[in-house]
Amino acid sequence: MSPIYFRLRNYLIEETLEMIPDARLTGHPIERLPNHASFVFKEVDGNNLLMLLDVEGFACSSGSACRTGDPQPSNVLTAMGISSEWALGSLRVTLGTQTTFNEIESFLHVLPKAVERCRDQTAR
Amino acid sequence: MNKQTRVVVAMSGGVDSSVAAALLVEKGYEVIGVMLRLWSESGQETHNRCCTPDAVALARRVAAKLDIPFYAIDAKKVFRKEVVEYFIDGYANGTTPNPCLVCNRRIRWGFLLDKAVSLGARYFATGHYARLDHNKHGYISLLRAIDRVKDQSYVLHMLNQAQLGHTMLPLGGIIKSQVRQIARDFDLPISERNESQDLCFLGNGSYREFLLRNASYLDKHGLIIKGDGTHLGVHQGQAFYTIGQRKGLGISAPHPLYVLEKDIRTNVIIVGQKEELGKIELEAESVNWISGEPPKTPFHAQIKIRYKSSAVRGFVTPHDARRFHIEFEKPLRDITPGQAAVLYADDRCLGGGIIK
Repeated sequence: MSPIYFRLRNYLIEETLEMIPDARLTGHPIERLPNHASFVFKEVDGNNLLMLLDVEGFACSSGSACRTGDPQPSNVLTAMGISSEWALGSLRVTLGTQTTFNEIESFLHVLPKAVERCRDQTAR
Repeated sequence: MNKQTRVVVAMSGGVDSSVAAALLVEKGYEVIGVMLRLWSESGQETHNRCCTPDAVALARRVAAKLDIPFYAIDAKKVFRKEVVEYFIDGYANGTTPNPCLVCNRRIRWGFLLDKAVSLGARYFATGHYARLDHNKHGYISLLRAIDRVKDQSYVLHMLNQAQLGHTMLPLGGIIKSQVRQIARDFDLPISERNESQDLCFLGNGSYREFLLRNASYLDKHGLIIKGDGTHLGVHQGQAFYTIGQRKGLGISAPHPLYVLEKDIRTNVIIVGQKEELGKIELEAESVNWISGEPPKTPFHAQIKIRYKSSAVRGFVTPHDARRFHIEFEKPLRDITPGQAAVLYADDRCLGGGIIK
């Protein structure tokens, strides 16, 4: 039986792609770290999204880990052929062995609203 | 009581904004610290006084001490577009612009206030020295700070009722020495940086060097003449001279000569003696009335024509919602196009406009 975080991660990916319009998974759907999910959201400022999630108690990251806070799109995502209007809105979520189903549920409750708020701001 | 009310504080790592944050934490608000990363010329990134890496680190330590979240928000692009371009355009149009006013309106109470609201904040707070008074009809007045020496209502005169409705100014009711004491009481890690009059994005150099690097087309030589048309010399470009300037004109004359006027059409600078310098009236544009409504009749007011000048009496005639005329009781020597004329009735800031 696969570890709980693996199943929670898969649930997180499925729900995120289903609930949020203009959302894509980046990287391979299966051949990836078992606790790792990464997305791009069209017309979202990734750093802004991180802040909104952090305030709600979720620590995620955006862009390359080595360029945190840089407002340029990640070189890796760009090299994968993702345009900058998508690549700027990247989000990386990782789970731990102690992450619970309830935590994922509350994250999935917060994320769509946070993405929407970011899009409202980008549109201005 | 205040536990449910979220407040975003603009922090700089300096003592004022740090104490503003501390006071809000003490009152029980749910406080979030934010700091803007503003634009610097490439190669000068560590010199922007508002947000050097050191200043960001310091603000982060203050936030950690107060146990509040802290975010550095990138505002380089919007700052370059709204503030730096305004600054360069102002000089290109022959004025002496005040970019801090635009920064407050468009960046702090625009870009950053939007971020604060999206973070779920009810209020946006800064370490400015000025007070707000909410009357029972829901109107908000902007008042001078209790600390008259530190009063910063001048740079907030262009805020509207909607912006003020989201604003908290925790330092308006206390004086600077109390602020320093509170910083010690909270044991805040603060360095006493020199309070500079220079603009944050100028780095270590002067505005002249900045303009030469970033708007080299302003390097346009022209004639310096007297009012009667006598040629006295050559100037290096109008942008590098300010009304009232005496030093650095590079001309010799029996009496000291001052810049009286810049004719932008002919690229000529007109100089004259001190007695010719004063003007008794001015026109202001881009006017903001704090109340949201221009007064219907002319009125007497106290007027500040520069951030650090003292208020003088004058008679104000509003033309329409966005323009007014002032006639002073005595001629003033430092009426400078591009700076703001800010109007007061006793402690109350009524609004102001940009001198034409």
